Amino acid sequence: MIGTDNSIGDYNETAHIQGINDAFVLRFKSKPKKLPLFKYLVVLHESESKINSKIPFFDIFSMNNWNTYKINIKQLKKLNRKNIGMEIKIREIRYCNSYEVAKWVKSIKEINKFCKLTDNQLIISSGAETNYETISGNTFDSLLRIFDIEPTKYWNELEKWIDTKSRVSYGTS
Amino acid sequence: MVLRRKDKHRYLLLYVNDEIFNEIDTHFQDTDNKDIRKSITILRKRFSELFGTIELEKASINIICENNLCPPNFLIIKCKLASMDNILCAVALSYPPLTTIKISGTIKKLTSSIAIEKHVEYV
Repeated sequence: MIGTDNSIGDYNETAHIQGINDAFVLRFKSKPKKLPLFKYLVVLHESESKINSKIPFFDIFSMNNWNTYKINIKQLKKLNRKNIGMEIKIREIRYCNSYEVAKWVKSIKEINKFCKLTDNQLIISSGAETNYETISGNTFDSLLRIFDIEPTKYWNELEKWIDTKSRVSYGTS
Repeated sequence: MVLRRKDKHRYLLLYVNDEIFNEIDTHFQDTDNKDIRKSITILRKRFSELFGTIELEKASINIICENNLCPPNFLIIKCKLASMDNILCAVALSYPPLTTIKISGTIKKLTSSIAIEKHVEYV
């Protein structure tokens, strides 16, 4: 499954045609006004706004700092929403030194535990902005094993989560 | 009598991104075969920092540049199968990014895949 960023926040005709392919999920910064004919998810970045009760609708909460994960978990607990995807990008970890990488590993384990308890979904993504930063399936599996997550179980859960989350309207809903 | 079996190995075809390397280190002008040792040093350093020097020795990461097998920007490394997970992690978490293109049990298969890709490119 490929998620492509749509930084404009709105979609045009070309995106409309490209997006019909089920293998793609478009990432939006806010809920589109007009219902699109393709799968999309609304992503909220950690740096963009603080989690509180007035926060607008989002599907994925993207984290980019290992030392704020405890605060974020607390706030998400208070928010009491289910089926939120908590995204961690490998790209962010790649820039860190080894000490920080180890901290990330610990925090991912904690976040995974939290997600299991609260019916949310951990999302490990490459965060690739160029072709060179893409990560193969084998590498993802290895990373998951390092994070103490069983790869097959993780992929199955993620597939289910995407199926329930991505709203393909195809003229309905 | 002890039955001694050789440890299994795997060959990894990696892609080194020239542009990012140049951005980071001005002394590192290009990632042609002669300079590819720089990227393996980065990989080894990351591996030892993450998993320790003992694991690094166990993984026995070696560069394969027999008969100029690797085309420019590509790198073939040999490592132990038992340490595959750790190596793939180190590759994914190394900066500048190294991209794993293919993993193979024999160098022949790996190089043949490069040849196919080359052929496709030129056709």
